[in-house]
Amino acid sequence: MSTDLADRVETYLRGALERPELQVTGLRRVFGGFSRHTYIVEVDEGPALVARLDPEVSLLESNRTVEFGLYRAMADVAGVPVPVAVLDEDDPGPLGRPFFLMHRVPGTASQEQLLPSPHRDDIGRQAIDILGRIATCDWHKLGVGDLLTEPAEPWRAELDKWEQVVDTHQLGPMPVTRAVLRWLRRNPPPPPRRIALVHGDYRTENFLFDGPQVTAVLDWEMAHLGDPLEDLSWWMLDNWRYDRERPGLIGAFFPREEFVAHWERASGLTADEAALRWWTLLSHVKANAIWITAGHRFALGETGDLAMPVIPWVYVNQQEAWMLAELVAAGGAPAPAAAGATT
Amino acid sequence: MRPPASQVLFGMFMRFTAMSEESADDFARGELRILGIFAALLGVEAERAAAVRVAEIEALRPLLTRGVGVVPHELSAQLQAALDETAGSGRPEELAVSALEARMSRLQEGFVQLQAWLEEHAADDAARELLADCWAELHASVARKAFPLP
Repeated sequence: MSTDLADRVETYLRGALERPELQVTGLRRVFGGFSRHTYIVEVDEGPALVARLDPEVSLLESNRTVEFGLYRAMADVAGVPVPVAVLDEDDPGPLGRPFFLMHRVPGTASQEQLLPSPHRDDIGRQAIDILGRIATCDWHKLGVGDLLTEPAEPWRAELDKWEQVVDTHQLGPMPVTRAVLRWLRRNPPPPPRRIALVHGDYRTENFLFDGPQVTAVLDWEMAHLGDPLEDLSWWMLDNWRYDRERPGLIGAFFPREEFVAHWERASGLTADEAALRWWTLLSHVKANAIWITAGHRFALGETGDLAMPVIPWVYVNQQEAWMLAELVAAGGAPAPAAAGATT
Repeated sequence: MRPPASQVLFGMFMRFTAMSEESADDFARGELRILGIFAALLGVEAERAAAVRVAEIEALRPLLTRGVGVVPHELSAQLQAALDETAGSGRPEELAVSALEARMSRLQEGFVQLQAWLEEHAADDAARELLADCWAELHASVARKAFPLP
């Protein structure tokens, strides 16, 4: 622990929390994730705190105030566990970057601990139930409308956004991603039954579990208003199918049909198959847009973080393989054998 | 005989991984692990870097050449320019991965334009036939470049 940093944090917390006797008993950085830097702050009394700092360079653009506001808002939604949001600090002084503080919640997000857990199915069912509650919560009543903009056409808003990211950050041509983008624009999905709160990064490893219990949903920084199928499709991506022995298990939990059926029961919404395929393809584009942003920032010298070039190196081609297979399944491209038959 | 670069880099991966496991410091452990992965990726990339790009160039050039005769004049001229710029002269420096990457990227730019046009004009027999071959090439390209997750 950096004594200097701990001293500064202690001084800050005494004032901000109006606890002049407070003592910081431990401070350490938690590694993992590519957007905000995270510190655990142990204090002498009460729950430990988590400080989420704005990064100098991030994998994606995010708004701290929105994320903090959502933690606050979601605390009022029964059945959606989130950490208690404590304060949002614009002053970079205490930690060197603006940050927000929340209570530390017991649990882990680790797939290494999830896979052998005897409670894996229970955890999966709870996590799907929670996503259903997010999809159907009354965001107007929660005040989320003050934080987020309601899109006229969710599909167009998201497609425009992620195409723009690809345009801005691609380091070379991406023929498959471009083919998918063209198909998405030519084949918009049916409109959603309702404009919902979309977490934006809801997936295995972005919620904590402790034994059989899901204890917190984290990482709300990409939250927005839109089509609830967006969250479902993002979680269904191949990227998060951590059970290598059973890659058909969505999020390392259930086969696709069972997974979708459980979400429909939890949300009371219908997952239109064509719409779900559209959003799944959009999710692949979104994933690739995020990966290439990392490479772009490294290539431009904005960061020396060696994880940044590794991410697109590992994922971009694989993501294109997955998205082309999905495009074939959606009827947007011939299958390999059919495509090759003409050559 | 010289040891291949991939073998040396894989050795670095093993070394970094061992150092990472022995480190008591969270920060050092994380950084060393990333360095190890990076070295392993470089090792694989060193083996396939030139081969993949050469294969891609050899697959794209005939498609763009056929496209020149199918698409309207303005796009046709752009495709021809891409072909001219990537023709290659046989100089040894053209075998550098960065040079191969530049040629491949230039051809891929043309390919993206060509396929977009063909999709809009698939009612035409010649366009439809070439489009089918473009899709075949996309599948082949994905197979060529697919990289297993670690």
